[in-house]
Amino acid sequence: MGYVAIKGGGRAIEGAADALELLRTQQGESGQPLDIETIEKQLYFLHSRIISEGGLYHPKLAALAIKQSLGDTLEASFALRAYRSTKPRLLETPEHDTTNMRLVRRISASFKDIPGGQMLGPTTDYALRLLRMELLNESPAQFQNIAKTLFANLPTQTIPDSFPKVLDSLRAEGLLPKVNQAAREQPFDITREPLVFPVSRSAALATMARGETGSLLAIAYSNMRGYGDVHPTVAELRVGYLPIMLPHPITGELTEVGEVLMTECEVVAMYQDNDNKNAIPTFTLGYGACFGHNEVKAISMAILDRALQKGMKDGAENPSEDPEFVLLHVDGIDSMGFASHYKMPHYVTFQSDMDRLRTTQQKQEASHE
Amino acid sequence: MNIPRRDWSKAIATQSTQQITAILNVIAQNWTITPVQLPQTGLAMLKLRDSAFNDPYFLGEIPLASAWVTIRTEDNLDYQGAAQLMDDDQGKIEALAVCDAILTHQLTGWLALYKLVEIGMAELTKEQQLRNALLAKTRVDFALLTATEQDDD
Repeated sequence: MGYVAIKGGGRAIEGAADALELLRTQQGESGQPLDIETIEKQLYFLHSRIISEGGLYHPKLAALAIKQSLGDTLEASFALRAYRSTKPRLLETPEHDTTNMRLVRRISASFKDIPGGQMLGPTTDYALRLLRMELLNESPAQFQNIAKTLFANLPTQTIPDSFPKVLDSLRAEGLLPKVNQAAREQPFDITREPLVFPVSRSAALATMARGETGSLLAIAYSNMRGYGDVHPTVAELRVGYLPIMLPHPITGELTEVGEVLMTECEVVAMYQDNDNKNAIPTFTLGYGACFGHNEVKAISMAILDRALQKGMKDGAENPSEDPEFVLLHVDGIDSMGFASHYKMPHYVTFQSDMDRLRTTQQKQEASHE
Repeated sequence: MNIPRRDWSKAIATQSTQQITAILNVIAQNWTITPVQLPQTGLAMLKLRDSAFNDPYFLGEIPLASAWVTIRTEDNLDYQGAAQLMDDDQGKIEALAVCDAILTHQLTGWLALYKLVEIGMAELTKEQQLRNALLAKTRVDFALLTATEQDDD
């Protein structure tokens, strides 16, 4: 099937851009433009989603993308990813270990007592899903007073800046597979190379890390409901700020250049017999992580990581275990682009479809005569 | 000078570019500043190690600015400084590289810059204390509910 270029519509397209701008500003004199910091802070979870799906940790520009796309998550991520494609790659960071994350939340569904303790942090997990009608008419004074009151009543006890991993204690008991100690291959860079299957686990992790939350959730949910057998337990879910360390250009000493808010999840899954019959069986593991605070995405990714490991090793028995099925369908910008292209003029191809249908109808009528 | 060099840039970066350059304009008005490497703004790919199997992978990209400069003072002596930051403000990264040179070699006026370092570190410390306080406030001690106990914190 070929595509035929069209022309015309320039004025209408400009008018459509104006119409969209009018939609954004239609409150007129009674409205205030959204400021970037308000989007970043008050639309926190939406903002996190754009940062991870755009694949670029740039809080200011992610907020701008949300503003200009009127809150459309796919368009906002697209704009952020388009921006990144215009910038030069300066370097790859050294390998970072997430044990140094400055946590704001840390929970485990495996053990109630974990080394360092569990901290709920900011979460809706235990909230009643009742609409808070008082927010309909929240005044600036009420809004500003909340933070002031909460800050005044915070405890002052000492908390360490980082915590040990729950997996480390399970590993010490011999319940987990050994970590890969061998010389490790350079990770796959999905921004530079196309996915050609079979792909490495690093390609799968990178693809899912910037995948669309809903797509990852949908495929992981299929596994949870029975099209798969991961049966995960969250060993640890952590949200926090990872300090980014780069060598100082002159001294070479590792120096913090900033920090990245991220979510990380490790799931422990069904144990399995080891390939080596003399080795003891261990639990299996799944891992998920993404920029920003997005727990559903990290958990879904961890489940899919485990499912894909099984598929890569033994062959896929379910869609969630098939690397090609999962990894080629979780990118929001790819899939949105394909869905949206159906809105574009297909006049010539559709004309051809109609011609073929009419010819087929005529042949069928002729055969009945 | 108690705050180590590795913390200077991130501490000063908490202040606005205008504040930093206002100080530098006074300190460095008679110096010649030339780049050792052209200042750059772009992206860095963040490499992580997954905690399940220790496999390296790329989480995504971060903005990055870097600068490396030489300062030539009135007495024709050269001093170098450099900085890197998760940012895309070229003016700021150039200023931070100059600050690095001034602080490292304790050139004239370094104390005014060191004051900025202290202010910045205090802000960063306060931010971390707030995070830790929120952690402490939400520390949970789940207990198994038995027939004889009431569920209560």
